[in-house]
Amino acid sequence: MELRDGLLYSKEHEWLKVEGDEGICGVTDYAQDSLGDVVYAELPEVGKKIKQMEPFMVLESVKATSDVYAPVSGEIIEVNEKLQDSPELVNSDPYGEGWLVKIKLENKDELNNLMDKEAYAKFLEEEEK
Amino acid sequence: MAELKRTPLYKWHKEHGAKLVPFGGYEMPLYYSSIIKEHKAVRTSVGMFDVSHMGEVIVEGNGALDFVNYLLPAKLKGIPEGKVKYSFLLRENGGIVDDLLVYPFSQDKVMLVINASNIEKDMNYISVYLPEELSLKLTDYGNIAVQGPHSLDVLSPFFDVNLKAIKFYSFQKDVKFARKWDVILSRTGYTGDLGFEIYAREEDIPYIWEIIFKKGITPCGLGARDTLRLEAGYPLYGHELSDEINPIEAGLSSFIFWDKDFVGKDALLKIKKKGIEKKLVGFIMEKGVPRQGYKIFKEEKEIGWVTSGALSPMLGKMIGMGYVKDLSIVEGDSILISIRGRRIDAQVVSLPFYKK
Repeated sequence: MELRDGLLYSKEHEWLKVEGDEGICGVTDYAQDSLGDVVYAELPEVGKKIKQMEPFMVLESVKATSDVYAPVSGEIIEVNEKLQDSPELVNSDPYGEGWLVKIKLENKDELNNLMDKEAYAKFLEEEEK
Repeated sequence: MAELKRTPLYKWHKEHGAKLVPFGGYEMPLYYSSIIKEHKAVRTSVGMFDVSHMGEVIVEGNGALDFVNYLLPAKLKGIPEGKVKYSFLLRENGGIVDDLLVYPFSQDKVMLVINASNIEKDMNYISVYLPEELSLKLTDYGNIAVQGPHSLDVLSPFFDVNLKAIKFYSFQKDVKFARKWDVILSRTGYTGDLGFEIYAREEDIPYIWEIIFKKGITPCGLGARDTLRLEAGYPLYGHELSDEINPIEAGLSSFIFWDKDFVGKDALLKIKKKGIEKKLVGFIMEKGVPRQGYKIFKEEKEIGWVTSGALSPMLGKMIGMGYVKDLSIVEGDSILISIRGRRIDAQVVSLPFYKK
C-alpha cells in the first residue's frame, strides 16, 4: 500500500494536500484498492459547501457505491473534470491524476483531526487486524 | 448468521490474493486483480472460474427422467443423449423457485445444477413432489468453468474426446481429464462466450484447477461472472428471477414446453391468457451506475425498478435490466433511472447488450 509524505489522511481513507488556505483531496491507495475498478465519479458542483467527516460525493466501482467523506469543512472550488471520462485514474494514480476536488478550507484547526503518514500507516495496520 | 461454506479452492483463492466475499452462503472470490481485466480476458481470450458453490443434485430411480419432465417446463421426453437443458422450478402460482440446468444421464438418473443460495429451498421443494421410489441427493461435485474464445484450444489437450464435437448445451459423461480424473465435460457457461464447465469430485478439483491455471489462464471471480452474464443478457436468481416473478414476465417463454403437464402450468396458462403485469427490459445509460432496487420512471411516472446494473467493459457504457409495469415500453424509448434523488436518462435496448 503506497503512502505519500506531505499529505494528511482521514479515517475514511481520504488524503488532503494543504497549500495555503486550499486543499486538494483524493482517496488513498488503500481506498482505491478496496473499491476495486472505479467506473463513475459523481463529482460535487463547484461552490458546494461541505462539512468535515460528512459525505460529499460518490465513487462507483463495478460492485459498490461508496461515499467519499470530506476531510475538512469548506467550499468546493474545483473538481477533477478528467474523471468524467477517465474514472479509472482514481485506481491508477490515486495521489496524482486521480485527485477528486479542491477545497477552500473553512477552519484550519480541523486539520488536527487528520493523521500524518506515520499515524495513518499505523491506523491501516489496526484496520487490517 | 450461519458460518460461510468454502469450496475446495478456498485456500488457492486466498493464496492468490482474491478479494473474498460472501455469496450464496459461500466465501467466494469477487476478483483477483480487477473485475474489468478479468471480464476482458474472457471476452478476448480465456478465463477460469471456480463455480463449485453451485449445487449439483441427483434424482435417481426408476422413472427419474419422467419425474423431472413433470417437475420442469422443459421438454425432456425424447431428449437426445448428451443434451443439456436450461429450465426452472415453479411454484403452483407460476413464481420461479430457481433456475437450473438439467443433465439427463439416463432414464433413471438426472443431474440438476442449482443456485448455491437456493440449495436448501430447492431440495425441500423437490422433496414435496418426489415419488417414494426416487432418491434426491446433493453431490460433492465441484465445478470449474473455462470460458472465452480460446477455451476450446486450451482444454483440448487435456481430453481424449474431440471438444469440437461437443455442441453448445451438450455434455459428455465419464470422460477423463488428463487421463486421470473422472469428470463431466459440458459445453455450457454463463458468459455468452464459447466455454466449458468441468464437473468433478470435490477432492479432484484443486488438481484440475492448478493444471489448467498453469497454462497461463486468468482466474476470474464472481464480479466478472456477473458483468459477463449481464452483458449477455442472462438473468440471475435474486435479481431478475424470484418467487414473485413468473417466467413469462422474465422473458423466458421460449423455455416453456406447453404440450405436457408440469408443475405451475395452470397458473402460467392463466397468466398467459390474462396478460402479464410487468416485463423485463434492458437499458443503457451514460452517467451513474444503475443498481438493484433503483426506481425507473417514464417522464413523471414511476413505472418499475432496476434488477441489475453495471459498467459494460466491452461497450464502455452503463447497462442495466429492470422490470417495467408500462408494457408499451419498447426498444429506443427513453426512461429515467432514479439515482440518489436525481433522475438520469436511459435508453431501452434489446438484449443481449453485447454480441460478437
